[in-house]
Amino acid sequence: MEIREYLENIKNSVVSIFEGMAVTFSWMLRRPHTVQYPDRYDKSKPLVMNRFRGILEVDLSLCTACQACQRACPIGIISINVSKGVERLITCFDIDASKCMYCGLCTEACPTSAIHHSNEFAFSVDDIRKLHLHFVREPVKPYKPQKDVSVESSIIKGELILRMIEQREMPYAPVEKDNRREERCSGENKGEIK
Amino acid sequence: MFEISNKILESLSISPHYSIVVVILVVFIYGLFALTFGALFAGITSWYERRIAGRMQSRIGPNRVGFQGFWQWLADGLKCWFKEDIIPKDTDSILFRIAPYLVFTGVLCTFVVIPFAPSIIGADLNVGLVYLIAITALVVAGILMAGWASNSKWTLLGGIRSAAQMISYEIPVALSLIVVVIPAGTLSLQEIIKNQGGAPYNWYIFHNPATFIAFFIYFTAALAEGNRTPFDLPEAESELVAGYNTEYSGMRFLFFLFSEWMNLYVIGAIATTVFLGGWRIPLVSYEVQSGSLLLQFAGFIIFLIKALILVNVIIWLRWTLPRLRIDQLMVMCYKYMVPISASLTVVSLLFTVLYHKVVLLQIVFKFLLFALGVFISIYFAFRVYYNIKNFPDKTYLKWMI
Amino acid sequence: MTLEERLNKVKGENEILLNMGPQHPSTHGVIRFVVRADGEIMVEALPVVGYLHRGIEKLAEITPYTGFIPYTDRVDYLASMFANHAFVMGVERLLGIQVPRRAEYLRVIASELNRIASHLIALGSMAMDIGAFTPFLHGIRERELINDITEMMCGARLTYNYMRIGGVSNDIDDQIIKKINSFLDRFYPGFIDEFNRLITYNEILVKRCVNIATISAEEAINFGLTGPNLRASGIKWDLRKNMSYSVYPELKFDIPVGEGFRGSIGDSYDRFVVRVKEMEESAKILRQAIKNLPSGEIIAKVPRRIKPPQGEVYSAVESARGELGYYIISDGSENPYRCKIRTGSFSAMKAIHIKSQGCFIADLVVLIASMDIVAPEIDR
Repeated sequence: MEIREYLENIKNSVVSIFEGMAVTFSWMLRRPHTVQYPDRYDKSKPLVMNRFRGILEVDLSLCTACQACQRACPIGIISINVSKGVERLITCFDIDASKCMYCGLCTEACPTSAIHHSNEFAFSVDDIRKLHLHFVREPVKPYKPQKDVSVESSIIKGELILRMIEQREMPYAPVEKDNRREERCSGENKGEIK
Repeated sequence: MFEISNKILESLSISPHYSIVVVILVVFIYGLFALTFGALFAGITSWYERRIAGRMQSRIGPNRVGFQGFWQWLADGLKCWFKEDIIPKDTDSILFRIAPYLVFTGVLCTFVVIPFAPSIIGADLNVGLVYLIAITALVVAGILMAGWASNSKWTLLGGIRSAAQMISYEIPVALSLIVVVIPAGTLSLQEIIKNQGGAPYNWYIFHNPATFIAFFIYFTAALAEGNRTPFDLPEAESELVAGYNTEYSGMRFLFFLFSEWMNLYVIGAIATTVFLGGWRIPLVSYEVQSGSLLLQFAGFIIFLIKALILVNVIIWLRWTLPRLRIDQLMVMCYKYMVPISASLTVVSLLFTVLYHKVVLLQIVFKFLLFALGVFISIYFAFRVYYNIKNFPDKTYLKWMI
Repeated sequence: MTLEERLNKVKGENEILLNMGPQHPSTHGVIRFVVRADGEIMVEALPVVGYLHRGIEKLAEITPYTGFIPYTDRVDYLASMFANHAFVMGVERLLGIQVPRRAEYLRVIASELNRIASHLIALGSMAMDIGAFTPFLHGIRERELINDITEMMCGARLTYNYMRIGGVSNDIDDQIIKKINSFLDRFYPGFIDEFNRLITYNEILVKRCVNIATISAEEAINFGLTGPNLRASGIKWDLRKNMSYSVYPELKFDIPVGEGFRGSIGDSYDRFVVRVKEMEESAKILRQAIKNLPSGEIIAKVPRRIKPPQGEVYSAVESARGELGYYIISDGSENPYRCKIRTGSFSAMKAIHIKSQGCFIADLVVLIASMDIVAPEIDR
């Protein structure tokens, strides 16, 4: 190694280490960017943006029973049963939220935005069956869209779904195949909760 | 020691044969003090390092466990203490068990010669510096044992690399300390501090150009001995998954970490003793200081502050620089540091002789080097100001978040 | 015979077999390397892939075209806009649809933002593997701003599902444009200068990366490398200029090529610096695209159930990691007959295998990081 290369190595090392130390020292004097969720952050600013794709929520008063969301879902987690008797009634609207990949294709397909993404992301549960959401307790008439009448949702976005997840009571039975959804939606035990 | 204890026993009218008991008691108390100081320092440094690292990376360090996260180190230590002591099956069990203790002892024994204050020192050996360099060789033995006894190829690689690194870097450490011994004329650490002056321009770092460069060489070589970034290839996470201490768990693992953090303090302490004036207070002479108890306590605090500033610089370097590869480490040691520090001893010798002949030169060089030091600090502050101006994030100087 | 037995037969007298297993802090994902090393110098580093295979190409055969777009996100989750774009472009070519200009500009804006985000992580991980932890976190901090922007655009921060067949899914308004402008003012040249001073010009990084695994121009073409890896070896080939798609012909930008900045052409340091320069170019493209954003629709008129006519198409996009191509064979039904994905990281694996001979074990980490591979791209 020649003398020039030797001295250049020393000079380069010293200068670049000096500059690097100046950069880190300047960052030590600045405010950290961390948001200390959940208790020490600025609650006036929203945590997630408006279009955030959180857990799915259905406002049944607006559902027209077109089943477009069921066809749009690539995984097939939505199951809707519409009974065609004397009147058209929605008897079953189930979403398996444990398998949802939050792609948003079902919300785009819905004509009235009955199914939409809420802004909730903190919904961890201790039993996965609590995430199999059943939105229909008793058969409901679907919404008939009328000309020149704007649709407005009657629920606050996110409230319904949190209530549903929290208040669902589950017996802690040994985990077996969840046959209840097929039983309820197969037409024999319409709308009964087991 | 024995004379003092004999006098004390005579005044209490006990037979002087028991003076050995007093001496052993004093030694035991000092050992306890050193151990407590070292362990506390190691624990608190781990919390402090994580906070500083967080602020440098624009995040907050631990701040939930206790006030500003202060008990984090205690929580980590207790958690590690209660962990299961796993000893893998095919290891060499005696070597595996002893290795952490050897490393810990090697670092703890250096506390004996560190002069905390004019009268607080374990034993003012008149070969203090040589003792220091010799006792840190125990650490090498411990690490080799840890690497070999863990019965894994990765740990063996890490142990051998680390041992080679530590042995090689003892040479620049020794040589750069000798650069200061030449003007001081003594190897004992208290005498070295005594021979320096109080004010900053009287410290040995500004004594002649050779000692100025020797400070940086000592600092870097001691970092390499302590296995700190940028020289921490043996324990690099992304390459060898923690090297020689992969197979350790629980308290044995913590011993390795403890000795690494205690070593930080030892590096800082030795650097301040030899280069930065130790416990000397500006404008106070040695006799006045050793007489008054208050000034001795002030000296203790000043020593602590100077050593802690250097510990800060070590932490700062860790979070700025990448790692050197093992062959680049060795190249740096044998091609750069050893020749430079060896030639620095000759230069220092020449300067010392010159200062005897022409006294005026000493004052000239002292002030020139002091001006150089001040200039470097001001230039650094200027670069920090340029960085802050160049980026829209404003300064925020509160430390409590 | 297992892999270990085969290797044990081949290895020489003084060599040891090391396993950089699937779980390792510095292989980027779950990839396994079986290293035959003679002391510190490696003889070969055999990559063993397949730990992250999820069968995405097979799932394409049972999923309709629009429903497959979220799956394409997960092929390379750090640069998912490009995967969306390539697939959607392919289906549009089969159907013969013309995408409105506003949608094309929105696609370019989203893609270039994603390129910056992906390069920030690539450079940060390379620095982190070499030992400097700070640049990674500075990069993540800037990437969070990009994540906020994409969250405002399409609702997700990582797997966007932003593009649809015929356009994009959501429109952007003045608030989002203001946020992108403020990000760009902060990013270029402020952040890039600081990043360079912190790590790119750092002598230790230079010494670690220079002359490591130099890939010459001819070797790079033979390996089939694309993207920044190819450009760092001196070849000026970029799909945005050479096989232009979308509105890239109308935008003015430069292609950074490796010129041996501190060492030889095509070493790891060149790959590092080429990525930094690409981030600067992306910032320039973004500024132009926002200035020239036309008004109009964001999605063309597409039938509800997409059934392209029988045929096959190959559409490729210049992603952050190389050329990301989709070869779609359609048989007239709702689901594709076959969808083959060609990723840039897959070609880089063989380059790592051949180039690792003669390096130190510590250099293997640098080599893997400089090729910027992500495991899901290799095993789809």
